[in-house]
Amino acid sequence: MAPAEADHRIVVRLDRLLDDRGMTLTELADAVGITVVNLSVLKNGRARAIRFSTLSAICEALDCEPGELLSYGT
Amino acid sequence: MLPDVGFRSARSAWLVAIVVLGLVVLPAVVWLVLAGVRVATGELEVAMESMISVEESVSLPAAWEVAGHLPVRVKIADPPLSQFLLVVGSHVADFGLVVTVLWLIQKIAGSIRQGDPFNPANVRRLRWVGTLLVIGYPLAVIIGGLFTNWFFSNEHSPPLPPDSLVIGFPIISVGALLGGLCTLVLAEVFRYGLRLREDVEGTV
Repeated sequence: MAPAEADHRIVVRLDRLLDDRGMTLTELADAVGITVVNLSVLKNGRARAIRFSTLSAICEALDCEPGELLSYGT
Repeated sequence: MLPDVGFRSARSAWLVAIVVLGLVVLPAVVWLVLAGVRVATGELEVAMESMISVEESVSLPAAWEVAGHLPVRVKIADPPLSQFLLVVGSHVADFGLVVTVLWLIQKIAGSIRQGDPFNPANVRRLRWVGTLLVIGYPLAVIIGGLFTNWFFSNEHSPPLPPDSLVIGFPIISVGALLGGLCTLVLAEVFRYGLRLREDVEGTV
């Protein structure tokens, strides 16, 4: 999802990856060890920053590369 | 939002601000009410401060000299309404300044007590407090001096002694100026803290 009214152009494709893996947001939150609320912030493009530890845990849970989760564009 | 535990100093600051606000407002309200009663009974007496030169009336040893003027007060019994209003007017500006600053301080202390200090409202409040101290204080002194000058200039006022001053206090207060500047700097610190908070809250 593209960021709305954000000061950056990082696009987070978490919703697409969740659909491809057949995983819910709650299941991913349990696997990663962060709250569903925080993960929703990331999924809905409202996050301002992501910790490397969180990024690593998400990539491990979804079996993906950071570049599949994050991209730069409009 | 941070928990309230550990913010006892903020709670104390809030209480002190509330108490001082009450100590400033309550006597003013009581004075106004009593003045209204005394106007009705014809027993009202108003007082206005001024300063007079005492150089010629005081003999001092060599190398000593009078530093400044002597504060004096003139009292008028059963004054006309215009004189009463001028006395009230001479205090409105500085009273309003003090009440406004205390109100803003108790709002800031209250937000810290609730664990939410870094918010846009506090940045605005601190800027207002700083501006009121730096610019508002001299303005309040000038406005009070104008009312005092009008009081002594009209026909109902007793004549002033020679070499009297009707603005009896310095327009610039170093304390108010320094306090105001510190508060303005603190406002920018809070603005930066607000930005840090937004970054932290938006970090996953």
